[in-house]
Amino acid sequence: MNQPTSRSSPPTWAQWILTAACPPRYRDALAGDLAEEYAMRVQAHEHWLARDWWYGTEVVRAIGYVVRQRVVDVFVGHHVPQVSSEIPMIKNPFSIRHPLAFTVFFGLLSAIAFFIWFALARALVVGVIGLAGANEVDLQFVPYVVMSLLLVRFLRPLAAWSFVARFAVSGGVFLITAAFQFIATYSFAVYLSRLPSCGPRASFNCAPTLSHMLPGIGLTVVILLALGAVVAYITGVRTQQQTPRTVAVG
Amino acid sequence: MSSRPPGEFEQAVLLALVRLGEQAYGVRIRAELETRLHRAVSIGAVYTTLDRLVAKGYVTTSLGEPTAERGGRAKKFFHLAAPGLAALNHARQTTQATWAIAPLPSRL
Repeated sequence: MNQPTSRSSPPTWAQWILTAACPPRYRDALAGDLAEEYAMRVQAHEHWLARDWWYGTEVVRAIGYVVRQRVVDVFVGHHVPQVSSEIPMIKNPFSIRHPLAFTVFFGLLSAIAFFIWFALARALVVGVIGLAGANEVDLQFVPYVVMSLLLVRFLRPLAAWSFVARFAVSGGVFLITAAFQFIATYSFAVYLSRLPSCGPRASFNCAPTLSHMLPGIGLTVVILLALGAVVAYITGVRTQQQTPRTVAVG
Repeated sequence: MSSRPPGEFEQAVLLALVRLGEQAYGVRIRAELETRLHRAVSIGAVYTTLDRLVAKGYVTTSLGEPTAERGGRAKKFFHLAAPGLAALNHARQTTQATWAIAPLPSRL
């Protein structure tokens, strides 16, 4: 039978999680610090269950911060200030370091917005705007348009790139976002088609087939690529218009 | 590029580095912060903040010797750099200027 204080090393599972979650630049230091504090608790004859509980909670809390920081690093990037007596004003807080990760994130956001729009807001808005003669088909692209406008805002850091690079990235982002949107739309249509009370809904009373959609998809791709070119052009214009602004310290 | 001054916790970490001098590493920084701030501080919060400060150029690092009690891992020491000192001064001036706007009334 084990002595209560016989275990003198931190739990392996927690060490493994810590190692997996932490970035290499401070992984060893952080794990070493926790090991050092764990050793202090061993010397203080703390019960191993209490020590392991403390270590586990520390790892979980640490990972919360680490993961949050990593998400910020991926989607926002580090803020590196100028080392001088002058501190530049913020030109743009967003600097996309991983366009693909950003695109996936953006696409998911777009799909979520789409679902929220359809599931919660559509009935209310259609009820109001319907008085002006619109219907839900006219409105289904609203979240996508909003997301596209946000996209232009996010793409500004790419302004320093060449037009071809800006076009490739912005067009790619549009296409991937549209793919998410398409999946969301298709899933929603399939979902509605299976509802027992969906008879009167002519537009959703059967799941659409891909062959029927191909011409529309082709046209959409062309439109999105054109949008990508517009975004690439706009971001280039913004670069030329931006001038560095600085404020003196003190 | 950012002109954002260090936040409250970042300022606390920078000041802990000043106080601890050459002995500033994770365990001691956390202990110092918990003592001064009167609350529990996660080691993850300390390291992510220090990582941010290093990226900003406010803090530099150096490695110590590996020890057995740390599982053969080396200590990572953190040192305040000149931009960090400038940022602290700037933050203090901003705070003082803010509080100089008006004295607080003793009661409302």
